[in-house]
Amino acid sequence: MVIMTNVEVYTDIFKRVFEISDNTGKIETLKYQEIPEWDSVGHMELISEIEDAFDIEFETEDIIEFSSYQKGQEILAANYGIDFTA
Amino acid sequence: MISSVFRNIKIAGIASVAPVKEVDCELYCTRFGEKNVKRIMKMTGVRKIHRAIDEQTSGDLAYEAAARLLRQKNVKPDEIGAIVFLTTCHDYIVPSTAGVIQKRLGVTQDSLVFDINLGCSAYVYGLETIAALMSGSNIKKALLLTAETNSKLLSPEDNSVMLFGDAGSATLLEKKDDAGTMRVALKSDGNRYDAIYVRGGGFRHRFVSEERVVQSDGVCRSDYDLHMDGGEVFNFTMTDVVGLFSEFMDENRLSIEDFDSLVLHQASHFVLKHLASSLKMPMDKVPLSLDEFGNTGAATIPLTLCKAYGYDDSRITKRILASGFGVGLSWGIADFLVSPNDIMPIEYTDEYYKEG
Repeated sequence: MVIMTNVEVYTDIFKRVFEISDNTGKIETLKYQEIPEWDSVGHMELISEIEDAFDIEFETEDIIEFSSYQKGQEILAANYGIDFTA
Repeated sequence: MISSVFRNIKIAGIASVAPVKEVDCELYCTRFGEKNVKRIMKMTGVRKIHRAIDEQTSGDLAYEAAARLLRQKNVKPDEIGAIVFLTTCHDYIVPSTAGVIQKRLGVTQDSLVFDINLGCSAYVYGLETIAALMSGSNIKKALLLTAETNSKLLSPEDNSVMLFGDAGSATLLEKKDDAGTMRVALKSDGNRYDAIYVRGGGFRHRFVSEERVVQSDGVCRSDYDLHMDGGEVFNFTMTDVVGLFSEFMDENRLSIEDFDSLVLHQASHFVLKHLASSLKMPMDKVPLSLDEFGNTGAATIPLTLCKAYGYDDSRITKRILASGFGVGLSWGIADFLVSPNDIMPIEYTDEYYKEG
């Protein structure tokens, strides 16, 4: 059984939700509404998948602040104790 | 916020109707793609909607709800002192649809009747408006009507078409010394008027092209079709609506445990779940109607009450915390008492006003 790191889990969610197969680092620079898939419905799906994967529940202000891949990582690390360094 | 407190206005009855035709969301797989449809259904919680036939209007749905309610409550039309009809889908540009409903119900000239152009916040705005009218007048009984035929406002190329359903409601309000307390808090922000709007057809842009073209959000629509900035509305809901709840509960020294149910405008399951969570209200106390009826705009709150309590004959009064938010932008909260025994089950009809 392959155990994924938190970064891998997080990135994999973006790939699945937004159907991105590209591995050239595009995902790491993604921002909300930058691609058609990341609209308000896509955002709800992203948040739900992350909540399920990391067993957390986002505060409403964090859902609003989650404006990019990078920002999302910062929020998860700072407010929900998700370690992305391992 | 604008706050109101009423101590002698009772919610004496609620009725809701929906069109007969059911439309399953999965029918849209061919048009929008199966993956996309399933994703939207999962996030919003909408499985099906009800859609009015071409001839049936919001006024028809409101009338049907009102007629049934008056019959059920054994209230004669000449007892009604006011009809206020809230909708974004008026039957005519002129006059108010409330006047047509007055005629159809047989309500006398000793009444005031008018429309208010509001959608998702309609019920809470309507409660405040009618309660205030009654408090300052000799009106003893009044009808608050809300209805929408949003399915007719949407471009068939907009995937929102599977989320917005049609419905109508009627609420009977009575002046009673033992009514208990009703509290309402309202806010509005015209700076974001274009977050949800239909640009054409009014007098600002009366005659514009009916051609549907792909717009900046990728949706093919004309200026006669509803446009909603999903991101703006989502942010508004999660920020301003949550903020109003906080302000309302603090000012009135209330806690969520004071309430039996939290009845929210049926925007999407994701939004309802997070709003309930922010208030620490368990989801089993947050009734839903969007799964079967979608987002019915002005009618969501009463429709949800009818779905939740329509078959409950209990006379034990429930304390409801309701919130509507949307078009305007406008948003509000109402804290009120209602007996399940006074709430009718949802009924279905394709009736329409043939003389109209």
